[in-house]
Amino acid sequence: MLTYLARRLVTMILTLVALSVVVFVVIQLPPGDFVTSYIASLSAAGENVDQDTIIALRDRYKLDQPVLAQYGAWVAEILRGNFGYSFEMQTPVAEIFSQRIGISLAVELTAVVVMWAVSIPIGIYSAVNQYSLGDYAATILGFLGLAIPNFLFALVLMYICYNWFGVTITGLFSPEYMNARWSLDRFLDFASHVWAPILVISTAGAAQLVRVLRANLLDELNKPYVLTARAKGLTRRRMIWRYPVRVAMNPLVSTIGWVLPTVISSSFVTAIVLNLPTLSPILLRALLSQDMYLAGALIMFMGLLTLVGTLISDLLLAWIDPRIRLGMVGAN
Amino acid sequence: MLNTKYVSVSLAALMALTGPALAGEYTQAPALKAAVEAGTLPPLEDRLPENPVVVTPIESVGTYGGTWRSALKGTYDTGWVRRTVGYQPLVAYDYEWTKVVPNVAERFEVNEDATEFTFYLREGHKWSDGEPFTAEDLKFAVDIMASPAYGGRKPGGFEWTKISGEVIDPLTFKITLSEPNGLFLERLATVEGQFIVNAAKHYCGKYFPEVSPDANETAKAAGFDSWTQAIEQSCFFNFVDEDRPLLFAWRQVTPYDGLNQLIEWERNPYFFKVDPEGQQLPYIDKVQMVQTENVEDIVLKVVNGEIDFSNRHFATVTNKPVIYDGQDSGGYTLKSTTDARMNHAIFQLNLTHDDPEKRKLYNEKDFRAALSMAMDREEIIDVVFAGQGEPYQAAPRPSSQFYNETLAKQFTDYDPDAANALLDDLGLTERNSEGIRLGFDGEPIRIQLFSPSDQIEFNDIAQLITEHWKEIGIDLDARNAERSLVYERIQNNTHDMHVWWGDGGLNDALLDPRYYFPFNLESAFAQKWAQHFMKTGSTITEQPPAEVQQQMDLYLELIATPDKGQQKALFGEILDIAAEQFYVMGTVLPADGYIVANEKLGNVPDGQVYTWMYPQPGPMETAQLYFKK
Repeated sequence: MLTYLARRLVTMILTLVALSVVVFVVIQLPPGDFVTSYIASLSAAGENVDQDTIIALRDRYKLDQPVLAQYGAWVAEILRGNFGYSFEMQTPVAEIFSQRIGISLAVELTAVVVMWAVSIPIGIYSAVNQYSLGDYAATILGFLGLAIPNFLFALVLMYICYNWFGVTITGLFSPEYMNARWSLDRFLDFASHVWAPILVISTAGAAQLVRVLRANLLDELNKPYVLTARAKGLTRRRMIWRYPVRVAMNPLVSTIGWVLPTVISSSFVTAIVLNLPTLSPILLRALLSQDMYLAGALIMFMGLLTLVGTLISDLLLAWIDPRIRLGMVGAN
Repeated sequence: MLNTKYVSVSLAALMALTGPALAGEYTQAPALKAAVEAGTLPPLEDRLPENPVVVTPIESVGTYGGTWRSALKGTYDTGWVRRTVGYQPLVAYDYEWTKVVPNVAERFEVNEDATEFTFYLREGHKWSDGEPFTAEDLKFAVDIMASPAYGGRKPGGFEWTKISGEVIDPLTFKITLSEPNGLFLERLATVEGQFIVNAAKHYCGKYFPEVSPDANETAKAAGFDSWTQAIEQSCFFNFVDEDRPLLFAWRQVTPYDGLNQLIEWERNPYFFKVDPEGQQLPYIDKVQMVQTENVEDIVLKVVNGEIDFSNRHFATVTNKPVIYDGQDSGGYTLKSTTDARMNHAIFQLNLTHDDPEKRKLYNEKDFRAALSMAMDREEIIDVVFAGQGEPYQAAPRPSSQFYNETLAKQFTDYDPDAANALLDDLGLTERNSEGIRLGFDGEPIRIQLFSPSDQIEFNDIAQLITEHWKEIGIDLDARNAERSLVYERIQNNTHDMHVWWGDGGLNDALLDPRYYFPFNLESAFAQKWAQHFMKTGSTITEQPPAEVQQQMDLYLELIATPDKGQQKALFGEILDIAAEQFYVMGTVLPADGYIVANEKLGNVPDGQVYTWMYPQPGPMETAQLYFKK
């Protein structure tokens, strides 16, 4: 088990190195650089920039140097724990990160928890009571949830709330609490805003989980061991929770690896439509303005989260499922 | 508080007769009064300059209180800050945009050849932290900009090597130009010209090596990567340093760094303006700007009554119906603005194209005239702009002092037959199997246009024009592209055509005549010639033809003339040549715009000009806005 872990850690580091190259190349691919997009956004605001400023900016950000040199400098700084400077916000990347990561985590993890808490019981219910009224209802809602894009759902929700209840649900805080310190009042204000993004983000995910769990569980329920367990006298409820559900959970557990990076990326569109102060809008802005250190750091971080997530889900799988655990030992 | 209109009006009249109120007669906001009584703030007489500006209100004298809410979009939106709380330049445009008037400066003098400008400051004028504001601060700002070592963003429109500042005494500052510039005062009154009163030497001096030798270390210790960056961030057009002293009506409480969601401003107790009754401005206690990520969110805030006074980002023709309908429930009204732009979309063929065949074709005036006559502008107006606007070329607006009818109206009548005839006369008679005309080189004429994907109107117009031009056998390949790609192509001179809106419809035409001749990098129809005019030393510079050169010479002559009448005559000549040359194709003259104002808000301007050079609403003096009880 320990050797397995060590091997995985080494591959993770190598993957990160490869990822850093890909990230850097991809960020360099679009035409122009930060200065071009900076000029473009100033023009859109009706301003214009003179040639001297352009040269000075390129010089300051070392955008005239070859890509390889820029990459080298970037990696060297990262190794020293310095993720560079955001061109656009003129702030160290680490600072931007630390300011937003808390809220991002809070919103996304709550959404994930809600998603699982809702979908697992529903999934089990619809598999066990296949073709019942409840199953059809869950199926219809599930497909609706899958079919409606998050942003559309968010817009519809915004419209409904404005039109019928006269409230705007965008953002996570009312203006008076935006710059306030955390307090009970601020938390309540937060709670009164955060339900909307959580509802939007978790709907689609929950629908998907319900479908996957239902399909897996249906496969398991028809297997001979289920019949045997029942024949030996286990109650139906106890039997289902103990055996088929645990097996059916495998595919869900193996997707934990994808859940972690969603802390930044899943709610991309939702966060922009609903104007949430999370990392997602910052990543989008950074990509649009070719703010390469900021975008690079965020994408690297997402990559790291995916790797860590995959590792966690593999370990969890081994814990849940003896077949996998034994397979690992066998491989050693 | 005076609570009848009669009394306030008569008192205002009385003030007008006796001139500014005498020291000791000034009054201040209740919160400041309490602070003075508590001993935490010096008395009002010590905070106001000896001769404060007396602002004549648009409607009436107001009362203290309230919060002015508006919205920003993304991280770059310092433009709105500079237009609203930020417009307190040394000399300002008057409300009607007819002349330059003293603002921070008490008065100014200009010598006859427009090379020496002397500014007299107000005795006792103070920064928002209570430190005295003097001529040293002006010299400090000029020195930074003129310093070749300063690598930050510099205000546009100034030639730094030709400007030098001199402190005559603490209240007198003289700028000397090595060459005459008849537009220098106008430049100082623009939104960019404010730089000169933006940097407090006692605060920013620590970041400038000419003032403190260890500036670089200080900047690094403060978390910047160089002194240049520290100055750019904390002293001029960015608002990330909330401690920085300002001359604005409100001082900053929260930094605008792209992370904070709410940018707040509070009353500046040292603000240098009063109303006719002697009440220190501003009336409104606080300004709040919410940072948003998208325009739809701002629209929602508007209709829900969460925006008190703004037209930033959302005030488009497309959004107007929704915003108009929401007036009653949202508790706001729409006031009109006069758009200073003279065009919604200007199509610019690249006259300095690197491909010799395309260049030859695009430089045929008849070719451009044919393309222009083939545009069905009435259809564009009906489809894209809800019937608002009129067919127009790139020319000053009808209300402008520079209006030139030929330039404005030539080739705007929809006439595909005449357009076809023109193209036939050019010898472009051969067509391929799809009916597309063959160019001089025998290849089908295909014009590629990348329109910026975030400006939806351009794309809508381009799609219509693609159909219009099919009628005359021209293939317009219009695509949406990311804005930075569009600009990259222009910078590299690899574009066939560019589309952008038409700035320069009113008095800003003088300062930014980008569509009337190749003037700056925004003159996408002739990058190479513009580079020549700007003397950038760029590798793509090219000597322009004689007529273009003549326009450039005329403009240089105009710059050197302080006389307004002479300037107008010279600009008229430039426009005549522009009409003769017909560089670019305009589409639609924008109709009036609108601005949203809380229905309780007083002293809201109606019909104010909307443009960048004249940073609406700034010149109305936003400190006089107030909430009616």
